[in-house]
Amino acid sequence: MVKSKDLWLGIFCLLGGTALYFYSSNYDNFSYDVVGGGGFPRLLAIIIFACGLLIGAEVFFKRKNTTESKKAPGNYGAAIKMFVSVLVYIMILTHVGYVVSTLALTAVLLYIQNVKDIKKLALYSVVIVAALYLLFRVVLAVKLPTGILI
Amino acid sequence: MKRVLTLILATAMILAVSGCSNSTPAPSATSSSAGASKPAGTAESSAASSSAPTWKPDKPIDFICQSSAGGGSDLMARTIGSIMNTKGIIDQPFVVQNLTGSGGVQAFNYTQKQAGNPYVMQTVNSAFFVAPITGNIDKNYKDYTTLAVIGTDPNVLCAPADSPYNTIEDVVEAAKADPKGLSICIGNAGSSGSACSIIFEGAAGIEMTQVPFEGGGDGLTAVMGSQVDFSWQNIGEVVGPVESGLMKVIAIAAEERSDAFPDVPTFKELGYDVVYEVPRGIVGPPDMPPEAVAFYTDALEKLNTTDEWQKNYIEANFIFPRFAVGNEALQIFDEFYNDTYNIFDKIGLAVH
Amino acid sequence: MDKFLIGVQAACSLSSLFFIAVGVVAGILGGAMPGINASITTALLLPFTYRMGPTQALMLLVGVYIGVQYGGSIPAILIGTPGTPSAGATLLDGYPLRQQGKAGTALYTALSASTIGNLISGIVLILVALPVAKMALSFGPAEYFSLGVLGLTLIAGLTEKNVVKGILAGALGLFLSTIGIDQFLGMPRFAFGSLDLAQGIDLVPAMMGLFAMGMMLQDFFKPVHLDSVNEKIKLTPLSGKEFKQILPTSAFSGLLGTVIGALPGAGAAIASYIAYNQVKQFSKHPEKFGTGCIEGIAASEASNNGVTGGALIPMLGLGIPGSGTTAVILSALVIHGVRPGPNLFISQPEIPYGIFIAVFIGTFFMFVFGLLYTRMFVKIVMLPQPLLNAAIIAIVLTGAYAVDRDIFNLYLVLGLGVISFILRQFKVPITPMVLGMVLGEIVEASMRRALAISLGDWSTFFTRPISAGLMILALVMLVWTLYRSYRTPKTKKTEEAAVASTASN
Repeated sequence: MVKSKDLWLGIFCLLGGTALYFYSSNYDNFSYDVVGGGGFPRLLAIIIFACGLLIGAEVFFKRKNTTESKKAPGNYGAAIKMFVSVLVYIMILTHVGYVVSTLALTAVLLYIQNVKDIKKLALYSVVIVAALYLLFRVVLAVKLPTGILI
Repeated sequence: MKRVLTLILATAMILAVSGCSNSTPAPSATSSSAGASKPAGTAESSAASSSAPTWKPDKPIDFICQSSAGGGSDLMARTIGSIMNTKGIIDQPFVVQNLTGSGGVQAFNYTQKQAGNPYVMQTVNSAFFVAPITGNIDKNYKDYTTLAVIGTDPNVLCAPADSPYNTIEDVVEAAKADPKGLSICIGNAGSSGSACSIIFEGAAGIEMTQVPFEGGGDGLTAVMGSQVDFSWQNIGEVVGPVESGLMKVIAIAAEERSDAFPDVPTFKELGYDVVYEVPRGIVGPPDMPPEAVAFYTDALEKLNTTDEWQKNYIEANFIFPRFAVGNEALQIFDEFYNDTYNIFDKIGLAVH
Repeated sequence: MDKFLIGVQAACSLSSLFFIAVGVVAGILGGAMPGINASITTALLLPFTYRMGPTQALMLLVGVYIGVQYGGSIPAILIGTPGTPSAGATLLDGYPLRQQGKAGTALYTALSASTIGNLISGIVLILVALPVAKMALSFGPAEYFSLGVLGLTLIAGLTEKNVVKGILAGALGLFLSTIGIDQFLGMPRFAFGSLDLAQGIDLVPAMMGLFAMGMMLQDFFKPVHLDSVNEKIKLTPLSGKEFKQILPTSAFSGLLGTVIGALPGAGAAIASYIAYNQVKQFSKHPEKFGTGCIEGIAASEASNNGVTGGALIPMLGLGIPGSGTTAVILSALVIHGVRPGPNLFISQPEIPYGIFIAVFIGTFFMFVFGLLYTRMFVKIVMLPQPLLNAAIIAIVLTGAYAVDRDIFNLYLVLGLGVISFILRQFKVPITPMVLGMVLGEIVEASMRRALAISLGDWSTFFTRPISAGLMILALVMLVWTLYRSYRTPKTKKTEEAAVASTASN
């Protein structure tokens, strides 16, 4: 079995395209026009499906290149931690308030990137948040969320 | 060094501008919702306090608008805000928030979530009534606090300048001869234009191909450029172009003729009961405190008596002046909602 | 001729100059903040204008408009995220240049091209505003569709290495653009019950998610250390040779941008991509585009600034707002009791002609302040990477919130960022996806409208002269692109060798 990422991509396209094609028929009623609500998505579904076929075909016809240069594996941990931090940030933003949340976020993000010195963490975070606050709230008059804290 | 200089220069300029215009206090870096904001620099006679309703806003007021900047509702909101401030009716600035989400639903939802908040208002247009009818939102106008109706805005049927059709009779005749052969621009599905089409086609027994466009602007372009045969537009949008000879107006869907086009007949005169005057108004979120409602109603009444409002908004946009607050306004909404509901129900688009 | 002088008088009064300058300064800053685009900045400043006379209000707003289009290029170049959707094409060559340590060159190119674009659109404004406005009226849905298709052919042009994946990305982007309420149905599509999704995916959070957030996730995943590169950032302005290189490109793109801007409904983003595509395909060395070619930046920036002047044409000439920002300017006029249209040119000439002159003055200020801003921004980029990353993420999230204060947008940014990250792992290019999102609405909605008008007759796209012309052009571009991508393998190697030996400057 060719263990190529592209094969998964191809399969995804085949499945996704098919799903899209059939789901689009939900939108065919009540329309003024020839194409209908489902026409364009169906066309896209066909294109995606076709791409899936082509990508899959490429995988099988270019077997010589299965020796993809073994690149160093990426740091999934860091990426996941970043994702979680941003997710949490979004969830608490309106409850806790902009300034505090963003301070926390920047500190955490710096920490994930191996900035462990408390002083640096504090300084960088404060500078970033102050600058953003100044720019958005003061200069551009955008109302930033204020929750329990500011 | 240059960098610092630039920063100083830029900041100075921006602060200078904020200092110049007193209608909006420059938001101070330390302002938070808890702190009292600076009152407007101009010490205008506080007309509001003389009649002394017990409540007064002490924070900026959010004016939620479902159209994008420059659209009909947006203009109304901004004009209201600007006149309220310049005439000293309300000292607090109005901050217009354009929450454009297709069909206005985003704005409506947002206002819903601000229940009980006396610092939020929202503009009302036809989408406000149509969205619940077609099921795009589950709360309708009754769930909001009605503040005022400031006028009604009827639609007009327009055609390109070189169109062979000049009267309604021409239109009906041509449409009957060629069912679905004529194209008409209706704005979004669910907009006032689409409702007018439904009524008109029903009343005249004709069928035209309806072509929705995203915003009023695009539709206007289409009819000016003869891309479509007809279009439904608001009066205010077409006054300029008609004056310049870029398009023409065939009929108006109102009870009476408009001053903008004294020669243009109403559908009613010609025997077609096509009347669709969209109430333009303001509502607040659900459960707005009664003191706030009283204050705003009072302020809006004062607004209605100012010359600026009448000239710069009502007349400039040829809105039919029809001012009402409280229950009277609610009645207008009731009527309009029921009419609209029936229109959409007849063609099966209404969600029960 | 005296109308011209009246315009000069209006625009050169001290207060006008002041407001234009302020507008430009605020505009560049607004444009440079991802999430804040032209309409928002203008709308934000609108309350300040109530106290001013109409002329001064206009000066301020025009200044902002000009500044924003340029400002958007700054983050596009420095952090790979466009500050405004119209700078999407700028990052294609801007960001690679920055990674090569030539951020200064990229920024100066953007500034120069933006200036040229503005000047050209100003000239067109003055000379032929009304005729162009009338001409724009002959663009109906069929023509907009064909224009959109022309824009989509860029996908083939961008992804010569792997066209299939490019097409896939484009299709995905087009799909994302269908999410939301369908104008024809009045019902949401692909919202799966979510009220938030039912409103569709806004372009600004989409770009931020796909570009910035995706890049950030990638950077946490596999940090790229640019510190060594940063030490070499040069601040020297463009050399005479480089300037001559971008001049024809900028002129052409500026003109193209002006024309596209004059079409209500076609915006700066579309213009920048189309200009980029045309310039790339007609260039003698198209394979260099995307790797740090200054003509690429020039094409994108000149055209998006050309749109500025272009969009003023239908607004002033016909009273139709061609874009969000011109709609705000229009509302400022109406609030002050002014009604645009051909009559305005006769009854109150100081307004349109004042605006025309203001465009030139604003361009001058933009150039001057741009120079100052550039020096400032380049220094920012030399900060340590972890700090920069944290700052970028914070800016992007704040900007996404600023768009309309809806938290859902932030989720979109994150979600699209994850999708972008995953796609990167599969080597699916992101730019065609963004292109699909930008063009999706104009392509689908115009197609359906055109078919509605023609009563289902598909030949309408080929029988209407302008539409046919655009479709043929699109076909030609497609064929030309494919031809070039097959032709280059043999000659490419000798060229590459030549390029490599001269690349060490």
